[in-house]
Amino acid sequence: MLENTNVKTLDRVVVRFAGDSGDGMQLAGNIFSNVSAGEGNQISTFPDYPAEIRAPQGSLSGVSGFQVHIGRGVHTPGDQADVLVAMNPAALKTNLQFLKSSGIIICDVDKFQKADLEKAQFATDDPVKELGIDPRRIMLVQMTSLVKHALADSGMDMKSILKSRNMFALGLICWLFDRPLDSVLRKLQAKFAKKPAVYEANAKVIRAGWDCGHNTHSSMSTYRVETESEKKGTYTDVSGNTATAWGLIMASQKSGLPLFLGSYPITPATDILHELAKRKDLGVKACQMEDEIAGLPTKTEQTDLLQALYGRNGESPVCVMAAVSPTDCFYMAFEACRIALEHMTPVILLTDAFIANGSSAWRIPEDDEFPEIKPHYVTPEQVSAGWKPFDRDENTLVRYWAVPGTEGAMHRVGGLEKDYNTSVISTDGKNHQRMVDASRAKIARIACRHYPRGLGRHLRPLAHCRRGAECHRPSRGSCAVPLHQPAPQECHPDALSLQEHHRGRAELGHVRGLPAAEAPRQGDKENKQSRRSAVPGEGNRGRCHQTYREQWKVTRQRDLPPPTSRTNRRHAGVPAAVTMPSSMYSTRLWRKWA
Amino acid sequence: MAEVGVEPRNTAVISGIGCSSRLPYYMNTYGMHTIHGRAAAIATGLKTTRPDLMVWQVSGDGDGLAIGGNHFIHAVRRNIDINILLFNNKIYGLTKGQYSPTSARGTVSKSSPYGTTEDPFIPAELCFGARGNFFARSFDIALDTTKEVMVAAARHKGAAVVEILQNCVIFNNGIHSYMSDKDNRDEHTIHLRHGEKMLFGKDLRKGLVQDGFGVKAVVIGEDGWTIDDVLVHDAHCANNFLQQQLAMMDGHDLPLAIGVIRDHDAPSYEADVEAQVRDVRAKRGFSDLRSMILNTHETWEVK
Repeated sequence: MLENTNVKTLDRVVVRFAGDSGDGMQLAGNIFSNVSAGEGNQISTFPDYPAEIRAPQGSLSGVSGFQVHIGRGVHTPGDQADVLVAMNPAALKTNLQFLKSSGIIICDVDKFQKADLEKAQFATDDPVKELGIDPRRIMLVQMTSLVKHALADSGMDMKSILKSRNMFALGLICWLFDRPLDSVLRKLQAKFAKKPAVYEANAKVIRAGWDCGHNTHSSMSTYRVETESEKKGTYTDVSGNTATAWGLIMASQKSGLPLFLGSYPITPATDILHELAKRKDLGVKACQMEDEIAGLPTKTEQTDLLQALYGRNGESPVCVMAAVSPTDCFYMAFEACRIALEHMTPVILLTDAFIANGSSAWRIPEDDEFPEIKPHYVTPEQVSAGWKPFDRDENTLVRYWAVPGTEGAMHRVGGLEKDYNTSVISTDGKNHQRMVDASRAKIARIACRHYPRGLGRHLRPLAHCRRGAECHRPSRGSCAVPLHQPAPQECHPDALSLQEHHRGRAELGHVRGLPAAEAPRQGDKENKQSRRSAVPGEGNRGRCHQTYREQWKVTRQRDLPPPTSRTNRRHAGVPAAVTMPSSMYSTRLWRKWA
Repeated sequence: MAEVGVEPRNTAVISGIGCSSRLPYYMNTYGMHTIHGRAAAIATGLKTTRPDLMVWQVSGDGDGLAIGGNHFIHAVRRNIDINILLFNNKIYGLTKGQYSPTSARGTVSKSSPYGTTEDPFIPAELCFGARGNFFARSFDIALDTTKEVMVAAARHKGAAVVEILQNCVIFNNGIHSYMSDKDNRDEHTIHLRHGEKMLFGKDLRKGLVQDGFGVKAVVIGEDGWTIDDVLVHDAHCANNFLQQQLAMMDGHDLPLAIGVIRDHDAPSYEADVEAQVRDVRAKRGFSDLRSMILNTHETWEVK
């Protein structure tokens, strides 16, 4: 790139753009991540919106951020940033906590005037000192002045000119990470295809940002971020919510059944409604309705697990699944529909704000990569042979689906218990026991079904365990992935201690319906011989562990004796309380147990 | 159903919870005994996805107007083509005798031993307030009228509310007897039929005439009132002002109205959803997910 620039190579890098809600941080971050994806980086992004709608400009509560993680081995938007772009003092103050101790800061120094500092509640006029930032880590750039200068003869009004500051920051970051300017401009051109004047102005500012880096900071290191060769194909950037919506559409296509969504808007799930409402162009009927089950906050914590698993009367196990990443939402949504339709059962799919709003590059699958979904429709032959609504398939215990309109199959369903044989209402205790056993076994058998060949990569059997791993660390949702990356500082102590000696991980797609591990491969000695352990890595009081324990022999990390040595751990079975006999992995027992 | 000409296999009866909601079990159709207060929600989903089915919803004054009040008003407002049977016995029966949202002020029940201190809903008023386009009323024991209003409801395109005044023999016996008893019925009710004079009483000697902004009951031939003064019922009229007045009559000062009180044509929700899907697909329809993404999203190739 530059002769006198020191180019360092990084595996991955996290950049956080932070500014006022109106500063366009999301657009800058989005273009940066898409350009990086085009360069062959893996990407993962996460927008951090303020809770307030239109908080006062420059205030602490009005700061919005957009975090981008690029490189290879990228699974999450990253816990802490390598680079923080702070467009004003409030952004610096609120976002410093997300920066690595070695990270660098780029600020618009023009926005650090007395009034700005007051709005951000700084006590002194030296924010760098006040926040205890090492001055060598901060790059003070006169962004506003340079933007004004770049657009001086554009004829634009001052308000519009100042709105372009985000593009200056983008140009600067692109220089820092050696992003090709022409592909940045191409993205921008596509974005403003209908507004060439806006494109021209923004392009000018991006170049100014790039030049600023080049000319004034050329003695600094710039970075080359490693790429990872991905599977060939056409990619797009997809958020978890959009992926969920698309997974449902794929299931609709593969089952030949129309897709209907009845939904009440609620953050962070609303974008599923938004996306499906647009998809009338694919025949989807998405209807905004007037009721919801609210009060399960998912931003700060996934507090919905117990509600999903146990929020019902009596013993009525329901299939519960969880996605672990934005792109995983697509496969999990498809799989949830497949189970629901082929096993005639409700399925709860859990995602969370982190996954739903985050985004990653996603290869658009070909239609034939997915199996047909074949519900158990009742056949005319069955009807004439005396079919009863509660008849079950012997193997799967699945009932047959008599869709309204089917001749001769009129029947009633509802909450009252029915007789196992005759399907009429029954209050007999023994019959109820039989029905409870049947529904439990039906859910358990979902887990034993065979996955079509080739789908394993996407549709994870209950828990995926890395080969050669000593222990599982099952967890679900967005917390499933961070645990296998270097432990973040703010992570729960449990997770930290796990980090040291548990190499394996289990991403639980299927939370309930869990014989819980890949069946052993033939000749896989390690699987057969070693004793394996499962420790749920999670925060709070450990709700996940309760779930796994229900189905697996699992305990919490905090209940374990402190690990001594590696040998000791292995032979003494430490974490002892959580070892599972290897026989648990036997396919034979697996089936029997289910 | 035979009269409407829809086969049982193309009929679905959806209920919530309560005495009323056992009805699907007595029907040889497709049926769902669903969750408390949510029958309208489930019926709405079903009708939207399967407009070809004739969908009936059965609710009581508790299921429909207490816990399900929200769903009731929105189903009516949305004008989805479902037929809502509202069994009103002014009491909670399945829970063994507590007052309901339609119990009169002062009702003494197990949960209001000193009488209630709240005013009830009048289902018709709620239906009109939710901009309903069909409202009819009958009694449990008036089989012919019940059949008449149910057929009219089934033929009406859009949400149709049929209030059926039910007697609860166990917990609220005789609650409607002032109107429904054989001896009282002629004098205390009026059977409204579209296009016919509003006549009631023994030998139809009485009629309803305009009285300022309202209506009043007169005896034909007395005080100079003639048959020509008697109002003619117009159930199809878009303006619901007079229909609402008629629906609010309670059998005391003025006779309780039974029959089809309002039956006005308006666009139904599921038909408009279908039409919109057709329009959108005609303008920019995609054959499948992949082609939609490729045409509407920024993509790149990895080679």
